[in-house]
Amino acid sequence: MGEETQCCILKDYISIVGTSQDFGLLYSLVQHPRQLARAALNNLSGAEQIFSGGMMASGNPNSGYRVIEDGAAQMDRNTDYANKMMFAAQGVRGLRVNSGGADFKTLIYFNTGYTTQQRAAIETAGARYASPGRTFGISATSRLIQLINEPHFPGRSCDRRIARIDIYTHGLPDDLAFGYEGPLAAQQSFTATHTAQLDPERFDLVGREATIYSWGCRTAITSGGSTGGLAQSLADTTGATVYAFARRTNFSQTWNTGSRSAEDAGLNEIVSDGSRVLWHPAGAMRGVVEGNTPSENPPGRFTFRPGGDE
Amino acid sequence: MKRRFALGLAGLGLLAGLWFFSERILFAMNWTNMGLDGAEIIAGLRADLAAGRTGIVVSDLPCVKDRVALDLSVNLTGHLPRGEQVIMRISVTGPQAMFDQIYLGPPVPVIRVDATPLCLTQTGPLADTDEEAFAYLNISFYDLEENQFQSFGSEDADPIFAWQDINVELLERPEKSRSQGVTRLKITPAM
Repeated sequence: MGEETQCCILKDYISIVGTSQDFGLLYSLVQHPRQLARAALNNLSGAEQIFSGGMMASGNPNSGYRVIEDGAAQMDRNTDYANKMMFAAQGVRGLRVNSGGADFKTLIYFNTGYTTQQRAAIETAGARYASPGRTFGISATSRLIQLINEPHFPGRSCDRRIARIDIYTHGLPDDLAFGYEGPLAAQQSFTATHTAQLDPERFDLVGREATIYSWGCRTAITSGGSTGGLAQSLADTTGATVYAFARRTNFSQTWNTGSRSAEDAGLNEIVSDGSRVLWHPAGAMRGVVEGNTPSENPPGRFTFRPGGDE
Repeated sequence: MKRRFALGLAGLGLLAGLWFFSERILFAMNWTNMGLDGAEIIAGLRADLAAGRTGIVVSDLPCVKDRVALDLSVNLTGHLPRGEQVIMRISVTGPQAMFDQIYLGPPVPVIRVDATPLCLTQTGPLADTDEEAFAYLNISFYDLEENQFQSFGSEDADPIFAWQDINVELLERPEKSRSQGVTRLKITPAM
């Protein structure tokens, strides 16, 4: 924990995690018909074949997809297996990798759709990598805004300021969809109307710029196809510099263990309430990369500053 | 001749029946268990129903730009589940929307809402090419008895606010959206 400085500002790093649902067989049929057909044949024949599920781009045979025992076979029929915990794993990695210089580290995760054991795994990682008492499971965007706008850390009189936010979630143009396709999708949506409720003072670092990184899909583009969108709105309201993508993002490297075996890398499974998912106590192996759709959207990571000075 | 006609009619009837039931079978396949969260979500729905929050729920947000009010109508086609314990919620999400829910209650095919508030960044009537006109529509069904739900939404927004009167076709078989994502509904302007 950092000392309370002379000007009495304490800096926070925040990692925000959305939910990831299993969209089911029919969804997979539309998104990955070939893989699904292959997986079905493999299930019938008993062969092993990787099927990485709806939001994962493609299986890499050298990565952690070939996991514990019959993990690869799990991929054949369980779209939750690698996807369910991917945002949470990236959020934990964010705490480890991106929080340098902050006095406090905060993990905020939308907890809808997880089993008790899955929540416990996220909380345990939060207890290890976030600051004490700074892991929050929430179910509504209104609570997220409250937490971001907190003027002080509990029990501390100094001003609380946000140095950096990393956002790991499903995203749509003009919408950070923290509860995409879930039972509380509307309450977990974050649009420009929510951006307007953020307190810009929390992002005033006095001589330094605060940053917001959105790793969600298409934060940098509007529904009409112009660059800017929610990313520009966030920059304008908070005064922070915002980094975001106009295309979809790709979380398929989350469990990529490189040359190490899954066991050596420490990957494990959480089996609970009929759900079987991949997890690592220290979070993701590798970060998020840009995807390639929609092809008409401009590629690359965009930078947005207040006032539209891209 | 009569026999052929009867056989043809029976064949058509069989095909129509299969189609009719396929919609229901596919709809049934899409139910998702709410698990741990179900009790809280169901309690929230029951509380909203008891408190009469069944129509538009306006956000208590200031609009420092141009605030306008639009009437909306939503005409649904496709399979609508029945049952005393099945609830439908329709939400509209967009950067300009000063509200979220427009309907909560038993599944019905037509919804009309007066004066939905929007906070626009520019004045003048909305056109279907304006950024301000775009919004996402989400229709969720909750089976309060079976602790399950399913949602119909899209990865692409539509110019709902410019059209105001819209037809929505629920898709039991999801389709590729315009942006190579997935959609479970088709929205078109009502003529």
